[in-house]
Amino acid sequence: MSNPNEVTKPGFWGWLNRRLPVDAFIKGSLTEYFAPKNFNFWYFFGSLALLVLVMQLLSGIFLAMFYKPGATTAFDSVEFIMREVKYGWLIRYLHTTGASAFFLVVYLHMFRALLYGSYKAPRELLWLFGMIIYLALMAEGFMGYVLPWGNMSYWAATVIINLFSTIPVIGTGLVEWIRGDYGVADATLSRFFSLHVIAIPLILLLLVALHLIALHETGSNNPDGVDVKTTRGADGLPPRDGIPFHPYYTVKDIVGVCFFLTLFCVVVFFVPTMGKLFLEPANFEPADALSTPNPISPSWYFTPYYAILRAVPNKGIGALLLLLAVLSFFFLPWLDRSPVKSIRYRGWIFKSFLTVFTISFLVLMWLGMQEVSTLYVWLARVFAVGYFAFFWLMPWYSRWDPVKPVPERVTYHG
Amino acid sequence: MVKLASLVAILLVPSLSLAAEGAAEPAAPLDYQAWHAHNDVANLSSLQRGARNFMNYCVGCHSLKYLRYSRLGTDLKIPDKELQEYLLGPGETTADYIGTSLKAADGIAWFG
Repeated sequence: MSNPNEVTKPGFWGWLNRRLPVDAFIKGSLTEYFAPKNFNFWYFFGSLALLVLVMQLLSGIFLAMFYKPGATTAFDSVEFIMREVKYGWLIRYLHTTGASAFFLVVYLHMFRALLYGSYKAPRELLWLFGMIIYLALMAEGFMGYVLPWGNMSYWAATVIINLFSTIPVIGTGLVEWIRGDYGVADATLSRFFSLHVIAIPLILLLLVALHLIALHETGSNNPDGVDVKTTRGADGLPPRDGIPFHPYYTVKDIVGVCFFLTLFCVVVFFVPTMGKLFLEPANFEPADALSTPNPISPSWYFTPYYAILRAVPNKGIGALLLLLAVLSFFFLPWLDRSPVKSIRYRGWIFKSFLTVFTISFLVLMWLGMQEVSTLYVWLARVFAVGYFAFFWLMPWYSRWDPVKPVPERVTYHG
Repeated sequence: MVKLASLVAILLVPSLSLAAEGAAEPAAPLDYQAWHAHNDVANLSSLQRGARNFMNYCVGCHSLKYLRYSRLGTDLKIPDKELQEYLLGPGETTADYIGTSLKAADGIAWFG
């Protein structure tokens, strides 16, 4: 990378760059940062996740101006936003739709990593930062869901916080410490507000920065899983198969943004509740400790884990499996023993396990939204096995998998 | 439109409970969120009659605490003069929320 400080540039730009490495940053991470030239559809979702994060921060700032945390004021203030604040309904629908969109793009972003082995060495840390972002996002989504103080907010908080009571010895005390009361109450709501609007967003921003720094250190993976360097070689030539991120991928990402925003606006303006998926009718009633909504179901992005929790008759083991289901993703870089990264060069065994996993995840998601029945509990058990098999049999099947030879350079498969 | 629809839903709840009592109607499912009032939110005169009926009978006990009279007037195209003459309670202005004359303390004393 060229050092702009060596050349004395004239004018304000030179003055600025002798004091702040703006030019070096633009070169190092955009115009002279080379990304593989064979990115496909699956590589839209990282930039879209960043876009949604910014949208959530902006809409959240305006919601927080009118929202009033407190058991007696929260629900009324949300109605005030919907009915009286100018364009308050729009800001709130942007935020609620944004929450679901965030999880959707993050799930697709993660699926891309599974397809092309992006979590494998040397990108383990990049993957771990991403997974911690996912955990922070789950906390953010859960606490945000509690804030409107509707009846589903109240009961979802009750159920989820009670999961901690399964921890031996300290469980009960821990639950009371989290709630700040003997039940979900005003104290719980105000601390969730504080965590939702400042603590977790700060952590998220820090983690996203780390995620991007780690990405730029190792460079992006690509659909072929062939390593492409990110900087010019000693001969000063661009790396083989690499193209400058700007303008090539900024332009590509703008196309993705336009397409995404079109779909996003359709939801915001025409189906903000998304058929009870994004906003539930039970949450249009104020929190009521004496009336339990039936069935209690979390937001769609948590339901795969919720189905696993309900599939186990023992609450403690169920909570443990729920935790394991989320944490399993963390171990992927070390569970995968395959010599190849991309699904293009993997064999039928990995492809079968990934297919079973994907189907299991989607079926569990659907099951988590349904009322409990004997059949559904058994289905959840079967598909939970499919879910866990992908991770915990991986050390064996990824080694036995008949892989194809990986080409030296990236290819085009259309 | 959402506001209008929710208002209509609220206005038509009484007719729904009356219908549920009729023998000819099939029994309403226990899950009241599955109930349907079969209302026509595009029928303005029906909505205006609903507002009149609500303000004459229901509001004695049931408030519309998130809705202002002015919003009702604008959405249902009720002129300000008629709004003030027929729908507003004594001492109320069009900027007020549609409250009930039933005091909370009285409600607890009378209905528990």
